[in-house]
Amino acid sequence: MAVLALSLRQGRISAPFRWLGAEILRFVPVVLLSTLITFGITALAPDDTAAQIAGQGGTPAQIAAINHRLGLDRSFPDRYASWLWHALHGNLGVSYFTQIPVTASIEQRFPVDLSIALFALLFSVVGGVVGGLLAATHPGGLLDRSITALGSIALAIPEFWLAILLVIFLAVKIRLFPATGYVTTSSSLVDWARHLVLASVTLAAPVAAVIARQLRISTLNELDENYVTGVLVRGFSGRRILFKHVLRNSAAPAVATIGISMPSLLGGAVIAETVFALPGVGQLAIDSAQAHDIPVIQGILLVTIGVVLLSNLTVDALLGWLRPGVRRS
Amino acid sequence: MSLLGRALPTAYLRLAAGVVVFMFALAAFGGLIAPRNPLAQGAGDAFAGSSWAHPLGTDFLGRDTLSRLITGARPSLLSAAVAVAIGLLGGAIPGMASVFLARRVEYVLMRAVDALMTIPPIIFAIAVVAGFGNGLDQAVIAIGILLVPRFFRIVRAETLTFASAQYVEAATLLGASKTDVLRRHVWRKVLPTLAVISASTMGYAVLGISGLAFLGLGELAPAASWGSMLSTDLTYLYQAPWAAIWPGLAIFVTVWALNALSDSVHRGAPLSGRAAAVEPASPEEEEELTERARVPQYV
Amino acid sequence: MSGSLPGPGLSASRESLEPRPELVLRVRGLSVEVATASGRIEAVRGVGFELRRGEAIGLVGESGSGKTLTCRAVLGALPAGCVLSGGTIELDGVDLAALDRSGWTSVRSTRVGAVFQDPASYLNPSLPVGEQLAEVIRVKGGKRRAAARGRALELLATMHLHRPAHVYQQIPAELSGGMLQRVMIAIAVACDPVLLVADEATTALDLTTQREVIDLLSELRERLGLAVVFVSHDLAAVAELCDRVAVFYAGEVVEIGDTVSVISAPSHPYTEALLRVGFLGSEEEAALEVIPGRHPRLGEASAGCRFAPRCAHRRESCSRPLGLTPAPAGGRVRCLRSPELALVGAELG
Repeated sequence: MAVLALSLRQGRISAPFRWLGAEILRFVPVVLLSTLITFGITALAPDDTAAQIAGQGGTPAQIAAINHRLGLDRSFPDRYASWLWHALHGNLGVSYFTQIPVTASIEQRFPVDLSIALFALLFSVVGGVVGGLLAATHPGGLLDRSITALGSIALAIPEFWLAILLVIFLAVKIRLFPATGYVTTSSSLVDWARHLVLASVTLAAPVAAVIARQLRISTLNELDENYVTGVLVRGFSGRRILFKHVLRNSAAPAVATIGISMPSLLGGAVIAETVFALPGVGQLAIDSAQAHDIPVIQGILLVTIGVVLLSNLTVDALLGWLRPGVRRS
Repeated sequence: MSLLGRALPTAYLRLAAGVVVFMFALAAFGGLIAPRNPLAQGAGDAFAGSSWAHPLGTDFLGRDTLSRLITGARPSLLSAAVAVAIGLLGGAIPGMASVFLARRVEYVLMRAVDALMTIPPIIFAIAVVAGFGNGLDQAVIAIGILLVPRFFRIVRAETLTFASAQYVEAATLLGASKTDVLRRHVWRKVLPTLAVISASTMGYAVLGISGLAFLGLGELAPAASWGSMLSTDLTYLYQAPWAAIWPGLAIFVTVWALNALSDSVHRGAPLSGRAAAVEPASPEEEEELTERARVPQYV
Repeated sequence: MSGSLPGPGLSASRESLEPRPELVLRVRGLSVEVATASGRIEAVRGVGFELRRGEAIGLVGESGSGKTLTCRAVLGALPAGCVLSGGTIELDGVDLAALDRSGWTSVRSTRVGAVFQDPASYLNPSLPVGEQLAEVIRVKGGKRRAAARGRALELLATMHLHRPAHVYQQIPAELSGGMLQRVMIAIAVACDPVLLVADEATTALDLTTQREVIDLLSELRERLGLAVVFVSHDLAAVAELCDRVAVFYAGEVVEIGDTVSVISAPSHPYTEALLRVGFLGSEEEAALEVIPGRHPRLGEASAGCRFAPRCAHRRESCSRPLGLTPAPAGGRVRCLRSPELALVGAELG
């Protein structure tokens, strides 16, 4: 809103919309391609679902009939187009085996993963920014080196192992957080959060490390620039210089990193589900994978890709606000 | 100073190199040095604690943990290496080529890579398994495909930097064909970066393959990789909490060592090209580099 | 303290009360040391000069002569590795050399402002210039947001920027060097400081724009009673703007006096040589002569007269330590042989 108002006042109302238009133009091919890949993997794979459904004594005629019913005998572009079309209207098909609409299954479970991913995002941004800034403002010191070391550890540690360790130490030995289970927001917000904390921290660790590393490097570079002197002689406090001026210029690579991390945050939620017994989409995906329940997989992929694309759009908008120089050229 | 001394100046780095060599040695010769048969089940011996016979204890089937850990090196590392190879071939070559090919092809390649990057890796692997069955090959190929964007972007960024260099322009003016230029000049410059990226990507690959194994994808028991060992450890977490430490530790130490080695190359180098080697170039930087490389027009 | 609009009568009444305007800046014995691989080396030694309200002094010299470090010391913005190793810098009674971080915060913008070379790199590249100006007015001048914006627009207009509202929302990359320099000047004087330090402010600009900026600075001197320290290696610019000039060589002041005297009748051989090289008196004398030898690098300076190795007039006695001595026409000079030398000056164009 503030951006819009500012643009109005400064007579630049067309600029944000023009930019949005360009962004959408860049996104459409990516959306198409990723949905194509999604659909392609599962649809092009050798598929004996019909045979499975028909069972042991299935005759070729029965199998053909099932294939027709499931729409599997149509051409690939045909299937892709109709799948995409239905998806855009909210219909992701029906599970081959349970006949439950895919949309319903996902709706039930996806909020869990989304919550984990968002919490993880929050933790990683806070941790990464604090770590990166502290390291950049005390370069070479003990703090800097500790943060760097911690970052290296976080990047090498397997998430599932970290998760297990957290469970051992923070849930079993010391009963700080619950080890497993999920509570919806409707019962208690605090409880809901408590059940998600360990999972989110697990996912956040490597992302925070990358953010901290990026931010440290780019902030150190910025601090070398002339305008820091220029702002210094205006007599501002160190805090103002760092946050209002330097960070605005050094944050861009770190923000871009956040955008790149979104897919792994969502994917990592799957692992977190396993360790912490959270009823998310991951278990559904694994079970469906082993049963070759294609529509479910396709639906899950589509939804997660959608979330990632949305976050990319947000990140790009944020980058445009941070670096008007790049946007305007 | 010897070549090794210059490449590994600090004790920290030497430790990392030692770890990597050790792990690969385990992968190669693990089967020979494991004290016990990793598959031998000892009835009644389950969850034994530390002892001379079983220094790291036994698992729920009475199998010696230490032996399983040692023999677990090969599946964990080998599959990761193959995945890296897939990523390298699938990413580096198109990455380099994209700089010299027609604009339209370049555009399509870049959007394809963008698309790959939007898919959450684990879910992608699950989808591949869903379509093509649950097996090690499928898992390795899935991870390999997921590594392609990383190689593509970094190699492309490096190639862009060199493609706009003067000597490449001079070579083309002197009549060298595009492939000649590619082969002789650019390839030689990109190779070191490739080696470095392969090392850190190897770390990602190990994490990825282990993660899939942990979820039960890409492996068939009883052959244990570190990831699947952790999976069973989780199941029996309450009975033997300490068992879960070992496989995870093995993965952690290996990945840390690989990262430490590949990072060490970046530290001294100037920021613009090399920082892109740690993380892919941001979209804006890529645009800038693309525009700069456009000036000598390789049509 | 500073008068935004001194009426014509004010200076007249000042004259009747005091013979000269009050002292604004007094630098004495300023020394700066630089940390190098081989230890700390003195880059500026014993620099001193005075400045009164509405006066402009030019610090001239080659690269490495210490003029930039001196002006940075006055701003408290010495580069990393450089420290103030001695001397005092009195600004309106406050010793800047003794200030800590919070002391500097209270002095900057309100008492002293700064303008630098290459204005584009000294402004935040991501923020509209008008907002940067308004920020100073808000934070250091204590105005509210709307009032600050209004005042910023006023200031931009005062700097002779056409379409201030348009300039306000541009980011540095969208403005020319001349316009950016005016913005920097606006930022520097926004809170009515008594002193403006200009570090090579006109060096990166083309000739026409240089003139405009110098004219602007002169105007500000007159209107606001602003005292200006003008660092430059361009003698012509200094001659235009400054009442007095200090010539730097190898970290020391070798001659200081009022501009007309120093230029028309220099007392130091180096000044004479500089005038030959950097100041084109007329078309016919446009031939560039180069002073033989080169400016000593850090740590190379000899004891005694530091210019002696390149000086055509040197004697044995020149290798002994020497200080500043009075020169004809009221200035000071660091040269033993000055009284006996008949040095040639240049015509003021």
